[in-house]
Amino acid sequence: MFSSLPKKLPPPKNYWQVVEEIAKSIPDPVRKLKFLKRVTRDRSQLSIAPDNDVDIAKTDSIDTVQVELQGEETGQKENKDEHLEQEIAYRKRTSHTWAYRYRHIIISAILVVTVWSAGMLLMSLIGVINTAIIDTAGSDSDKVRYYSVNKGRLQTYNPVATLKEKRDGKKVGANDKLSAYLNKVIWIVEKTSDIEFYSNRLQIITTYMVDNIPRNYYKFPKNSVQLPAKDLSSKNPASDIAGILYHASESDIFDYKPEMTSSIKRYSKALIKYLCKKKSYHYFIDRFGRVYRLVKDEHAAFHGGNSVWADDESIYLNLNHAFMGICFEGRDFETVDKSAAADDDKKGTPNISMMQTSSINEAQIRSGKELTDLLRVKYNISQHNCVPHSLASVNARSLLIGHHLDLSYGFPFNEYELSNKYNEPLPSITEFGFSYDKYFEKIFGAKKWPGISYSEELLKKQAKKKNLPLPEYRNLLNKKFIRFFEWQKEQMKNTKSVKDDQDNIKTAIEITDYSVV
Amino acid sequence: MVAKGKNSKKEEDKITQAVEQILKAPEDEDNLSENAIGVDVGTSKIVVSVKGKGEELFSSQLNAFIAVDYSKFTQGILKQNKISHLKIGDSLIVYGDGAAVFANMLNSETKRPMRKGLLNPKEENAIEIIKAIIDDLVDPTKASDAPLCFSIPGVPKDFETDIIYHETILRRHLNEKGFQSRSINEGLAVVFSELGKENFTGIGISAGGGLCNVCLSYLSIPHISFSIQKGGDYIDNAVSSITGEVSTRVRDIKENEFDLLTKPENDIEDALNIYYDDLIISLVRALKESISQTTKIPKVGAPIPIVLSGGTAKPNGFRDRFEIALKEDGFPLEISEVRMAEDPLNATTKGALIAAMYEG
Ligand SMILES: Nc1ncnc2c1ncn2[C@@H]1O[C@H](COP(=O)(O)OP(=O)(O)O)[C@@H](O)[C@H]1O
Ligand SMILES: [Mg+2]
Repeated sequence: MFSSLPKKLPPPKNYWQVVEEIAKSIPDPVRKLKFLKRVTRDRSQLSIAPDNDVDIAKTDSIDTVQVELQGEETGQKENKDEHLEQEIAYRKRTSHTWAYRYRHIIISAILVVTVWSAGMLLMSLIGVINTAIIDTAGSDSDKVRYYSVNKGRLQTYNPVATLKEKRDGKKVGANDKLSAYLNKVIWIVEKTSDIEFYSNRLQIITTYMVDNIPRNYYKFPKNSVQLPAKDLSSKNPASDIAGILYHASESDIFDYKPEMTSSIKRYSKALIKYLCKKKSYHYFIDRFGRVYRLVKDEHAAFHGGNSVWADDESIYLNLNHAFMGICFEGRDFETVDKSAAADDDKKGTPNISMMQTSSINEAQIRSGKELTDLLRVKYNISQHNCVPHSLASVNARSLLIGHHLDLSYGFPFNEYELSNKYNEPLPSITEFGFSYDKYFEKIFGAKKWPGISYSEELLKKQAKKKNLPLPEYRNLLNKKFIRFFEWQKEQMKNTKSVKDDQDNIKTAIEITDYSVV
Repeated sequence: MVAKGKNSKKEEDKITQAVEQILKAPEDEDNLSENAIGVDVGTSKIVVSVKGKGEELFSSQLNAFIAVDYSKFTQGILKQNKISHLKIGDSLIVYGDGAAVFANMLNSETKRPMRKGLLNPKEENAIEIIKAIIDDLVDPTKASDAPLCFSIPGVPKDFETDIIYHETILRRHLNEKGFQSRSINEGLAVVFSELGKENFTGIGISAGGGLCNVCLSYLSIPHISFSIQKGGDYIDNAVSSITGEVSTRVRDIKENEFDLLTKPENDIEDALNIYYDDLIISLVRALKESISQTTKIPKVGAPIPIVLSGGTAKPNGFRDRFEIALKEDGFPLEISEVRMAEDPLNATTKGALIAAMYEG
């Protein structure tokens, strides 16, 4: 029975930490607010919220909550007892009395129960909770049963396979090789209303696909301060697919183990439906490597946020429209629990850190490669423009790189027959003089992409050529960005008529449809 | 002031022209799909949001009016073109966006039913006008108990006023129209719309026309909220009084070509810089004071973000100046970042909508 338990228990959490973690996993602001209002109202008698660092577990009022729990819980009592036994087994080893600690678990359980009894309160995207409920209540396997909210969310996990970066320095994707690559022939072998199967083994599940708005964007000429011209001879506005942006969902991850199969599946399904509703990506690759088309190829998807990329000819500022978005379900960053650190350590430290190994697994990598091959061949996409989101994502306000950090390490460029973009100059720096802040530096430390210093050297050279001090040159580039960026925003305003079409779209399944029952 | 007496031919032309211009402005014809409504009752603008199918839909009207003398001709043309107006006594009151166009044509200035975030007690028709503007934006025929949340300012830091009166008048009116209405502190509304990712923990600031509103929230619970009586109007008036330029022109420059990061090139820009600094420093000082006076600030583990919104925060560089002021001789809380709201002019109404939806 104990074999499925995590080796190390998560650090003890106080009530508010648990609340915060659950809240973090609720993407919809209204639902999040409902959840927070509910838990804060329920707990208002504890007067914890406003006070300094009150450890709720030590306040007396906890007992009232415990009573509440017993009243509401009946159906799950048996499981709770089991929890208790196991919990005791673990806690006894620690020097603290387990009783206090056990209360944390009760508190999480209360959350589960209150949340559960509130019914529609949480949609299944926080499937962790829902699945945990299902698993504890519905399954007859002891191992699965043990899975509680806390464990489900917080434990560390050991993925079967991890993303490995092979840093052998070999550059792939020189032009000759690239064209050879694009000579690959991939064709569709079978197509039903739910799947497309291709000759390279790729299978795309199309069941959930939704429409968005047609691609429509501007290519900015490289090495020029000119705004795109809209005459007929120019490429603008464009609607072709210029590249691929790779994302990680950074969502909650269950242990990649046979007994977790149903939880993993439920969670993915909820996530897919949510992403379809938000029209977040074109493709999604679940943890078993299954490929889903979420938004049709000819339409934009809202995956890029503010981002910058460039090839030899053009600069792209609207990657939602210009690029395909492929999302791997998985994460490569974890939230740091800073409560244990000394006060001094906390100052200005990021609250996320790289995980030892990315959770993206072999099956996913393989599917991602097949999908990449198809897209590149079908749309004639240059290897230059196949990039992890983190390398393109920027904070357009503060002119900083790395706004999103998904896939910022370990992307298998080699396996994908792409040149290693971590080592190459970043267009946001070379074209627009972006920089990074301390926060970024703290997260990456020595693992900062070599491409950054490369870009900065290029920047210095360019400044020298122009006879300008670097800061001034940077400033000029920054201004150019702002001008381009604002101009583009202005153009996009006029796409309102297209946006209205959204109303006619086969839009996502309502929340209730996929809340786990 | 508008000339008294009968409308001259020339004036009639101007009015016709004004009408045409208003009609050219795009109309909001989107239908609502869910019935919750968010309303940002700002000193200079009222912004309403509803949930459309994919995202929020916004509509707004200037919170302004202009009175012209009543004449059959004018009223006829207003009616014919469906331009919002009221007849009060011997005057026709054109309100909302139309007011600005009229003022411009007639070479006059609009007036406001609100002042510094609250109903203006000196404006005798203020209540009628603001009700009319709101009714134009939120169709009362569709009310039938729809949850509605409207923003109210925080208690002014430097000055006690009665917000209750303002709040009650608006709430009563909306409830009479059939809404289920409540109010929300403007700063908190900004937190709701912008700090979802941070679990509604952080500081929301709305720098508007009449006021700057501030709210520090921890997990959606407000711990500090206040307002300072400086905003865009203050800047316009102050700059106008030291440069001699009329405030409409000052506002025009401020809203269109002004950049807080570039070197001022003339007196007006110079003065704008000075008063922006003044506003920012007052804001940061008030925030510091409030925090140090509050004993019950939760000790949040992680540094918290500050998010800036509102028209006054829009000029390029506002965020940077704010951050600099914040860092000057220390700030009592650890701040993770100072960032601009995604959509600064709609942050308040978006937050009000979220509040209406979660209660609704
Ligand atoms: N682009 C801009 N740059 C500078 N100031 C602006 C800009 N747009 C609006 N403002 C100013 O912002 C104020 C109105 O902001 P808003 O958030 O709509 O205020 P309120 O909430 O008081 O209605 C006015 O003083 C206006 O001059
Ligand atoms: Mg406002």
